Amino acid sequence: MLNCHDATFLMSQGRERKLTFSERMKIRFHASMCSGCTNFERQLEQISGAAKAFGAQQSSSDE
Amino acid sequence: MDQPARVEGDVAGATPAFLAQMRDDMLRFARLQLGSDDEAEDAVQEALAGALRNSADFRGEAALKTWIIAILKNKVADILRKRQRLPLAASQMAAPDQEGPLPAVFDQRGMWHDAARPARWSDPEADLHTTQFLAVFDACLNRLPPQQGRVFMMREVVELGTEEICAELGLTTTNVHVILHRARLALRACLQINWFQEGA
Repeated sequence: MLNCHDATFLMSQGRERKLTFSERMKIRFHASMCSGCTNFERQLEQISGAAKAFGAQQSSSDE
Repeated sequence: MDQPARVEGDVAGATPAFLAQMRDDMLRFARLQLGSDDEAEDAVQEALAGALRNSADFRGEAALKTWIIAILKNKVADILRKRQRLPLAASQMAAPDQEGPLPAVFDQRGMWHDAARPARWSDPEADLHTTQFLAVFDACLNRLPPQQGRVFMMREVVELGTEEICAELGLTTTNVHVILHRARLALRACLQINWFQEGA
């Protein structure tokens, strides 16, 4: 079974490449028992969304 | 520091102070990506010049800024892609410690330390795009080890692919995966402390 380091490493890679079926199963199995990694996975997406907003600077203080 | 841009005149009704601030933001963004003051300066000038030609189409400063930053992102991506066809400059060559440290969030067995275990972020998605949040995000980004900050920006802000990042920085795919993992762990930890726990 994966530890949290390896689980988050795969989750992170999932944003750059398509994970294999086996990798996805390992992640799901780990996340089902680990709230920390479940939260991390969700936050990867939120951080990515924030980075896009940061790039666009849409909510700049100059508005 | 830098000369103010020659963008005086009526640019979608923007004030000189707004334009000067925007130019500073753009330069900082371009420098971080390109690692070269001259190229950053050129990219910003070109983005501004392009914007000026069509400035009449823009109502209000916010729309103008969004649009100019979008032009700048494309310029930066163009420059980075062009560089891949040139031999790697010595300054871009791989240094021994490419990846920067793994944030100290795991114990020896690779499990989260209690204090570092990600908690739920309760804020609705929209709150993560507010000016206040993005200021904290900016500060956390600046605290990353340089290589981690750079690769994260290339991937998530400029939206380059892994191959393009590898070619630009002389890194392997594995290097890039490791760097992005570490950057995301560090960024997440920084946001947790400075945004989500504030006033908790």
